[in-house]
Amino acid sequence: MIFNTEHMYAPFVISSIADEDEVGKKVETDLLIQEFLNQHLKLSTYGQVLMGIAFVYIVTPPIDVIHHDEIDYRAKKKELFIQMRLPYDKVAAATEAEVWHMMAQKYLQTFQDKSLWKKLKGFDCEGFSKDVQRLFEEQGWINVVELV
Amino acid sequence: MNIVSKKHQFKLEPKPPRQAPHKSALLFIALCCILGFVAYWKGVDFLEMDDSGQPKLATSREKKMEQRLKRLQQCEQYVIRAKTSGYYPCYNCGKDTTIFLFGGEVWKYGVTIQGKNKRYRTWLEKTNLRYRVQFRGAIQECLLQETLKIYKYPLLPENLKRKPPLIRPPGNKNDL
Repeated sequence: MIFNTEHMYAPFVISSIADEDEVGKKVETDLLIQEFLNQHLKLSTYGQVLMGIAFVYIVTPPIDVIHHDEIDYRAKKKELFIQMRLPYDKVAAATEAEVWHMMAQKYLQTFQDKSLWKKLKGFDCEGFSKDVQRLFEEQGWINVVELV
Repeated sequence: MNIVSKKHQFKLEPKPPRQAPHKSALLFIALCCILGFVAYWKGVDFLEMDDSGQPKLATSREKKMEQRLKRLQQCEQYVIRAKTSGYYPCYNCGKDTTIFLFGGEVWKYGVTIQGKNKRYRTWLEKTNLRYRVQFRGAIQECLLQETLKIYKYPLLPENLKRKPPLIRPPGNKNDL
């Protein structure tokens, strides 16, 4: 097998940075959201400026000062890298299903943020976030989230 | 026939009267001096003089050193695991460049003071690997943890079942 590190593993990659403990295990459902998005959405529908979106959740205790929220769009490589923090205490106290909802909500909110739309000229962010919202709502993963 | 060579005759031309150096030349020299001084000052801007005239580190340099020392106290030792079962790069598999890992199996142990993103950018997302923090502390403690984990890796059940087992995780190019 030849490794192609030019492109993302899949058009939609979802991962997480967490401690190797019970809280970390709760966000390993990231893989299921990744599979779901890859099954139901096609990036090319929304324009030709993106070939991959990587979304990484940070779920580390407050002692972690190394990892921060980050949005990095690389036009040449046509890839978008997003790193977003989920509140550690809430994740620690939540059930797996609740954490799943928090992850879905964070994903959607990030793409509803219009400051991101400005960065991604040529990508139909509005259409994409509407489709994601519709899909997540159909699955019952989110309540109706107001547009930011 | 005799050839009589003529002596070369020098013509003495009157020398032009000496002119006073032009103003622009003086300006140029002054500019060079200023630039030279700035370059010298820039080159040693990491030093300052204290009240008693003794050299000390410039405030900006001292701040940078303190930041660096602080970061060395905020280190983390991590493990990178396969997200799903599949083939992953292997640096310890002899002629083979890849290895089959089951989801959750160890690919690499490491240490960073920069965090996952600055260390790997999007490489982990491209190779389907997951980052998990195992230990936080000062860099010496993190390096100690990393060493223990790398050296003890051959004893992990996931490695013992391989024929032959690996000396260290597939993603660790060397012991340290």
